[in-house]
Amino acid sequence: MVKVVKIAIALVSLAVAGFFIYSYFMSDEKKVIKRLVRLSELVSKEGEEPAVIMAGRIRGVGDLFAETCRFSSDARNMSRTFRPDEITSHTASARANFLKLSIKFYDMNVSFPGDKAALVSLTAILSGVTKSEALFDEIHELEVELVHVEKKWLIRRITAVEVLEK
Amino acid sequence: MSERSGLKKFLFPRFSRYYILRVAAVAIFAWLFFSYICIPIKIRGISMEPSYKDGSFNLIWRPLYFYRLPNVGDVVGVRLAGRSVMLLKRVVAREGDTVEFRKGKLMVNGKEINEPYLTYPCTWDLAPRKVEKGKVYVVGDNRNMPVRNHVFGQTDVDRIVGVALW
Repeated sequence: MVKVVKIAIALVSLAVAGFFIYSYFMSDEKKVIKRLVRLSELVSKEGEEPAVIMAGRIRGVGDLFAETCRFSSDARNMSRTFRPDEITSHTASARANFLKLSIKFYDMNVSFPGDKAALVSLTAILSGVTKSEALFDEIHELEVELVHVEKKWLIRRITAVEVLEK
Repeated sequence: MSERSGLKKFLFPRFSRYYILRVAAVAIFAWLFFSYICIPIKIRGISMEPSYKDGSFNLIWRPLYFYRLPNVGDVVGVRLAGRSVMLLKRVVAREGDTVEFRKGKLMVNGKEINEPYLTYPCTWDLAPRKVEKGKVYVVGDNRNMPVRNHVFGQTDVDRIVGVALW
């Protein structure tokens, strides 16, 4: 009996140690990518969802952004700064317009121009079905800037890159 | 002791060191070839119909543009942030050319261009614009939609990954 307890304690200690070693050595690049993948998961929706789930997702989206975040697009001649509460509000109303919504990121290339800054270029595919049952499919190249604040990577700029200029 | 027939050897090889080395060499060559030389693509979307149908398969051949620029008429893959997701478009003009659409007809340098690959009607009007140095002008074959809904325009030659093989 004592032997079993000792083995159990050893296994739990190993698991805890492994968890801390993994967290410590998880590179910043992986952490940044994980944040962006989390954003795509929270914004996406499979169908109608309970209000509690929706509220949790929307709150989670706001937690991924810095105090202010600038959204800009050269193609649409648009540049605007939002606070996290404004972002969650816009995300909620945008999601409400879709029966299904999928956002996926590909080819994420991460660089670190400064100590607490990360720059990611990626391809985003947005697809879904609107409330009026129309299919929606868009593809964009985005440049995302993140800043390291209190051990978290937060998004502070998203720029839509103009790949094809009409 | 009987010799194994050629067919038996082919269907049921012996897992010798040389066999494993041959399999590894073929696998590495295939990975290099299909990642960097001849990229398989699955077409998604209707912007190139009827020439290239949604859900169909093709290959993007890269070596052609190792030694020359894209020609007018070439159907090319245009990369975004990487090569996992590309736009498939047709080159209609090169640097220095002036492109315009007049009542749905493509005009290059003031001359109407014959486009036998077009099937669906087009009503676009787009003022003349010059293709900048180092760029090509690409458009999809399916122009049966408002001009603002079709992704087309001039892009850096560096973004051209290769030509569609068929």
